Amino acid sequence: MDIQKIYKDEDIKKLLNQRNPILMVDSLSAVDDLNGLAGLTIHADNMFCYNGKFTEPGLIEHIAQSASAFVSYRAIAEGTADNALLGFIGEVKKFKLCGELPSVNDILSTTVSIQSSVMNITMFSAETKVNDRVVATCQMKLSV
Amino acid sequence: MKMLEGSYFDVLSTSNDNGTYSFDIRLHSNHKVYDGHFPGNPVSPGVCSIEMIRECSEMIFSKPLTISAVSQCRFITVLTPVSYDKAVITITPTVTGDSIKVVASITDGADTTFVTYKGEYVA
Amino acid sequence: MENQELIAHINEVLADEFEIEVSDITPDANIKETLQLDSLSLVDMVALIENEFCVKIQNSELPTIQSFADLYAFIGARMSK
Repeated sequence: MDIQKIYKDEDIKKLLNQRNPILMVDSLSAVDDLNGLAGLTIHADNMFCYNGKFTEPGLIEHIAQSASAFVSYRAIAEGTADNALLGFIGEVKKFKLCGELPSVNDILSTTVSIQSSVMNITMFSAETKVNDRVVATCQMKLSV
Repeated sequence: MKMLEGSYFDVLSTSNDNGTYSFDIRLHSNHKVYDGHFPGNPVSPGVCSIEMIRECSEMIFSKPLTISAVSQCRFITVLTPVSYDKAVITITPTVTGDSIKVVASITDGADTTFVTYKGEYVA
Repeated sequence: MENQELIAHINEVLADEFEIEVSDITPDANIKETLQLDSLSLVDMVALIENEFCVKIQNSELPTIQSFADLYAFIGARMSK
């Protein structure tokens, strides 16, 4: 599987069906077959910003889209899909907020790791950082 | 925090039965989030359900709450503002020191469950 | 690991994760019914077994694992390789 490609800006729309105002990933690359790395710059007009902070549902949505984009990335790299797959969150588990919420202009960096996959459901673990500080960890099941 | 209340959903009525709070809500199909979730196919984002449960919990405690943990949240039936413009949010909180644990669900008020939720807030 | 020891270990991790008693598990019982698995928690079970016993369960192999006895045999065969 070719894991050299980096999706960003307009290209990210090839991996996700979400559009503004709820497009919550602006870059995606692969670390290896099972691990993806997603990013998001928090702009002041982000719908999940409140009083200058990027709120918890925004973090969870960003993690879900990071996972969903990585599933599409793999499918496109493997040649089993041409476009973004439609993914829904089946379950959020063990979400933990670590310290302060991110602020406007922060850049989120999220690692998603595929844990297991049964039929159309894929289980991920995720860790979101701002600079080197972990802001959230989560386990998620995505139904694609 | 009123990120969604008043724009994404309205609370029509509330009740409290022995520490279990119920909120009858209405979803607005014209909220801007549906422009992007998904174009031409409005589906209520799961995280907006998590946020509605938080905002209703804040109404119970009359103070801002931070979502410190979600131990488990399951999305059982797809919620759309087209098929269901009304729903019922049920919340049972347990307070321990600074932390508030809640068990919550979103249903159609009858047989259909959209979301089940177990989480923790800090004030 | 001896067979009985392996079976006890499997029962223990499943009972712990899915909040049932070890005594509820019998070799001939159906896994999904006993653990009350739906499509989401089935993934939890697969991930748990894979991590705990360092085996890989392919999607195509899942239908062959119906009872606990099937699961013991599957894990036992993979671990002895």
